Amino acid sequence: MSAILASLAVLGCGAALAAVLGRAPRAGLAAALLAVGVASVLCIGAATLRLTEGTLVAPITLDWPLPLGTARLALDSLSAWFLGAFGILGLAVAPYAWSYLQAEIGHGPVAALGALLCVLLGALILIVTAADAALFLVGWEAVMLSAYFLVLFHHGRPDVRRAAWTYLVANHLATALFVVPLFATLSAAAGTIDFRDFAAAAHNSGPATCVTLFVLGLIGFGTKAGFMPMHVWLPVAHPAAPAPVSALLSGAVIKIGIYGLLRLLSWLPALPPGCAVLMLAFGMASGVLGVLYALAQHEIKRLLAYHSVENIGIIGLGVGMGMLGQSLDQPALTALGYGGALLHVLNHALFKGLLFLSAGAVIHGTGTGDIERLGGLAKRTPINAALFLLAAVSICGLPPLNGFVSEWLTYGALFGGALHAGTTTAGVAALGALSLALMGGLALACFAKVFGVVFLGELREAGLRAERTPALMRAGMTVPALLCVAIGIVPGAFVPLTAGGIGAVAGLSAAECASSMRPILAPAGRLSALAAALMGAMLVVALLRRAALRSVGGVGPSVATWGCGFALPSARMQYTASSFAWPLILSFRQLLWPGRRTVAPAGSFPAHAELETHTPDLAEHDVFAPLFRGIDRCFRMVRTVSWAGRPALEAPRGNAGERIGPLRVIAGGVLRALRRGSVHVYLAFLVLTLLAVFAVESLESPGPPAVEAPATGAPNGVTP
Amino acid sequence: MSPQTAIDAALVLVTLLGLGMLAVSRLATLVRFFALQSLLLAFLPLAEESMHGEVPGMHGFLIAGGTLALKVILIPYILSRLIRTGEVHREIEPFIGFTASVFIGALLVIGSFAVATRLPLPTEPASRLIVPVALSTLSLGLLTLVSRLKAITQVLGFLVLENGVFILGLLLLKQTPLLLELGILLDLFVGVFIMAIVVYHIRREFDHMDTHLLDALKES
Amino acid sequence: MSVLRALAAVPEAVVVLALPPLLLSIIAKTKAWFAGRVGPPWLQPYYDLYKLLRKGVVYSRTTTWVFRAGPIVNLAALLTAATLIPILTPGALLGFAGDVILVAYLLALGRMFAVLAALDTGSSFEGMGASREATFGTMSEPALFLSFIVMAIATRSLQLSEMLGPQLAGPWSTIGPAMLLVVGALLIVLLTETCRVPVDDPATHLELTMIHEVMVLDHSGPDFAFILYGAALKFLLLGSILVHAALPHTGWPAWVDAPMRLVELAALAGIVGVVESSMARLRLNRVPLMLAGATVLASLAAVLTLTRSAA
Repeated sequence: MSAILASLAVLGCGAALAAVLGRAPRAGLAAALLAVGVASVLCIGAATLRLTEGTLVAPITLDWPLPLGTARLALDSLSAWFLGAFGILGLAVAPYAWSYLQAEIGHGPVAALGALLCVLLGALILIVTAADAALFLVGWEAVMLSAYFLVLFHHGRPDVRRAAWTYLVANHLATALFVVPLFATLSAAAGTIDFRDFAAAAHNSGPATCVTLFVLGLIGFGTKAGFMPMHVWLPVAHPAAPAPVSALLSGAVIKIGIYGLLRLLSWLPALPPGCAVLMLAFGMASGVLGVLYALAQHEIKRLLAYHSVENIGIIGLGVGMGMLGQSLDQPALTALGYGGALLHVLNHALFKGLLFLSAGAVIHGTGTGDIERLGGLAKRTPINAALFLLAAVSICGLPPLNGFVSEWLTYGALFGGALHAGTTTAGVAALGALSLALMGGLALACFAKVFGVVFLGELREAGLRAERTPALMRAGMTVPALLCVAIGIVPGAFVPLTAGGIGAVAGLSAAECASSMRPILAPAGRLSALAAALMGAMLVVALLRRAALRSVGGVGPSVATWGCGFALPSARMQYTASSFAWPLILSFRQLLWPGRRTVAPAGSFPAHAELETHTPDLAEHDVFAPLFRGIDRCFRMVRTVSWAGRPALEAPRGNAGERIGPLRVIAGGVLRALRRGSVHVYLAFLVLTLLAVFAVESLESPGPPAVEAPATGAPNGVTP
Repeated sequence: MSPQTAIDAALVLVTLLGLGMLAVSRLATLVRFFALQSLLLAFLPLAEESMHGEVPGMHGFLIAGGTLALKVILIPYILSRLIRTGEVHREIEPFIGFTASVFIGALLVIGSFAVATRLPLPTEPASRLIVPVALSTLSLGLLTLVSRLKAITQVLGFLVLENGVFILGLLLLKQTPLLLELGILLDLFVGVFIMAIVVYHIRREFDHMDTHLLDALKES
Repeated sequence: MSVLRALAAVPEAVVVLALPPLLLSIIAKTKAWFAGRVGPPWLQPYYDLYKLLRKGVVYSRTTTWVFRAGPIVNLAALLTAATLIPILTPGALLGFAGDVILVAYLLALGRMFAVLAALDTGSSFEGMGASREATFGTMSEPALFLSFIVMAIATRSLQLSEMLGPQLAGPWSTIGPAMLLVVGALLIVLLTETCRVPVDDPATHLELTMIHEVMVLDHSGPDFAFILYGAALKFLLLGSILVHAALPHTGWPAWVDAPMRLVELAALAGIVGVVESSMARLRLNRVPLMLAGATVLASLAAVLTLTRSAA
């Protein structure tokens, strides 16, 4: 616990020093980053101690008087898990940022950035260790504001200002409308703001209140985490920030949403299965749509940001299965679900942090993040390429790296749910497994695209500089890379560490936790054997290749790539990222509504032709944009009526007409068809009405009890 | 293979054929799918009766024979003649694409299974699959009717829908008077016959059979 | 104990490692028979492999270590997967609870590196092949996983050797139609993943219509041998899953069981040969429809299984 206080103090000093040393940016940055590094080491130390010393020791609480009351800090296993993840990320970011920001010294407010990094890390630590609502909200606000200013680093660019503004508005709305009411309700029920009293208060306040609290938390914390319809701020804010900040945003900041959700679940009693199904639905939507949008992006950091949405979806699947295990009273399912989610929190911090840092190194070395202009970087920056490949293989959940371990646990939970739950919930679990499989395949396609286009082949744009990655940046990146490998190869050493966190969320005792973890641990040990077998097989095949080549005298001469008979290939003729992804995008066009603009080659000697694909975010363009335009219009109406007296309809409408989204297309089509009296539309309405009547009737009629049971979650529908 | 499994397999195949009709664009194949579906259905009343350990009676044989004659032979014959004489052989651009309609169809099937378990039934069905498959076939027929453009496909959608009603009728095989069943078959025949004539004339007048172009006809 | 088991596995391992090219040979012979030709000698795939292993290798200037690693990782992943799948005997060498997911992801690992090696050449043709491989691989994944879920529910196990073991005989008698649908879905997955007609034509000569063949244009020598052998091994692995799912052997003595599996695998290769001889390959834009069909088959099977197991 003293380590936490020490790290907070170090960060405070670092921030103060950097702020004071604004005139000497180099020294200020150095002080701040040193503080970040030291604080990270302290956090990792505190978290490791907490996680290894046993499952459920009473949380350490520290009271001290503040002007506004008593502030309580506590470090239980759940806090420690997140603290460890933040620490590792901070340790990776500190040396990297030093090297990355050298070029910015004299151009941007570098010392302020250092100070804000200290504030951000400190606020993150505060959130996960806060033991009362006021301190939690103070930390929550501090994270939001510091991240806002960090995103604003390149404040000269209008798109950056807009991104930061979107981030601030989305998160403040979620905080004001959902998170604050959540804590207000809990505090009112408990009579205090102490986290320790919330559990009892929630247990006493009836199931309906608990469900309401969960929904509030799901939306409020889910906005921070980036679940699908609330994710709109995420893909704009991440790419706008400098790479080290993006890594922290994606690796740590969105994780506090998950932390908030898990902390809330630790207070609530077992919720009805409907809540778990809702969580799973959010997880599936975020996962599948997130990775599909990622596939459609051409800007490397925006693409990675959408992958954060996907991975939050995977975490959501784990959380949902954990909740389902609780409501069906199946500890094995609970352990697998929450265990998978917690491990994926750490894993995502590792590989996504690494990916953002590596992508930052690409942008740092070439000056662009547009993957269509890049190519062949593996020859110029081999180590950065290897690190990116490592992170890509692990984010795709491929063995033998860490992503596989957490996805494997989540699959275990989903398959377990399909095996042991009642019909309806089992169907949802099977659907979850199905969408996780789809996510895996799509992520593979996406990262094959990114790595293949950016690092393999030849540089597409001649004249683009491609500088080497500085040593300190590489050093920072090796931290998460090593852990990715370690967790993947020895999962048996890391999976048991989640036990305390699972116990804290699900309210299990140490013995229950240990017994429900046991069926996981033996197979987790077998994963190591399989990883060894895989690497052994690689070694054998590689040796076989070497022996075969030695017998014929080695490698032949280097030649040009076989161009299928074409004599004058150029680097511009390589397959592009858009073309690579287009078949998949096209197959999912009903979900994505991609746009494409072509100028077809014409004439005998075609001079100019172009193809451009773009896939705008539906939630952003067709849900929130019209909503905010509507709100805007309402306010304008009020203002014009009260102040200017002008008719409201004259208010400027902006450039709303530039894109026609699917909602408008469908609505317009239906209206047109109705006006013309189309047979098909009448038929469709007839069918829909029929189905609706049918559904209502069938829901009202009392079905056979054996089938009804799983829907209401009665335990007799469960066959363990 | 027990008769129970045989009935189940036949019912699953009926659903698959309904789904297949959403994936296929050649009209001739569509008609063949429908004929096969009806063939499977024609044997269901007999199989059901023999499953209860009875010798199939006159009632069952008449229904089976009527279905066989009408839906397996006569209607497919009329429709394939219509396709052969017309120049239209494919459903080119349906309102809902093939892959999408297959997925929507699959969702409808899953929905039917979900709903069927909750319906109160008058009698214990011969197979647990009868109600869900009947609902699936019904909704797949409706989907075909809604999503397709050509008149022939729409007739086929209507026929698939009717097949769904037929399966549902199996539940009440004993209770329904024979005259009623035969009356339905006759209605069906007359309906298809008239539609065939209409389609034939539409094609002769307008050189195509896209029903959505009928929308241009207005009173005003 | 485990040493003894490992020793007992040696003869099976030898047969399994020697078998894959022979299956390709059976397909080729079937196709030749349908076309009224004699076809290549039975051992032709082995001659090809031997020839390639004794050749030198030529690399493009564009390529990096990723290109060299591609065939190695691909083959290693498939070999590792082979230790988890029951092939001739009902048990698997290294099987454990939950290995079914590892098998699917090992296949994906192999695909990732095959795709990356193709992109490493910088050729637009190979990029096109890589894109198609990634697309169709992704789309066959849901069908594969749904089939696994159905078998997991039916056998109440997450270990592949149990899911495909004698326990499947029960489900075949209770939920026969669902199992039939699963076999259908698995057959489509097999044809897609191993790039056979109607998804891809291994005998085509036009780069624009190829999928797998165009991805490996630049590989030569031992690397290419590994790729050819890997493709054959993949056929054996997915074929074994299909054969075990379709025909559970209950209580057969080992000396009948293993040879029967060989016969069944040969029959499967024959069936694939018949499919290749009697069907044209689909237009590329119809392939997603077929894979969607496989997913729908498997999901129907899942619905049948779930509604049945609730009773």
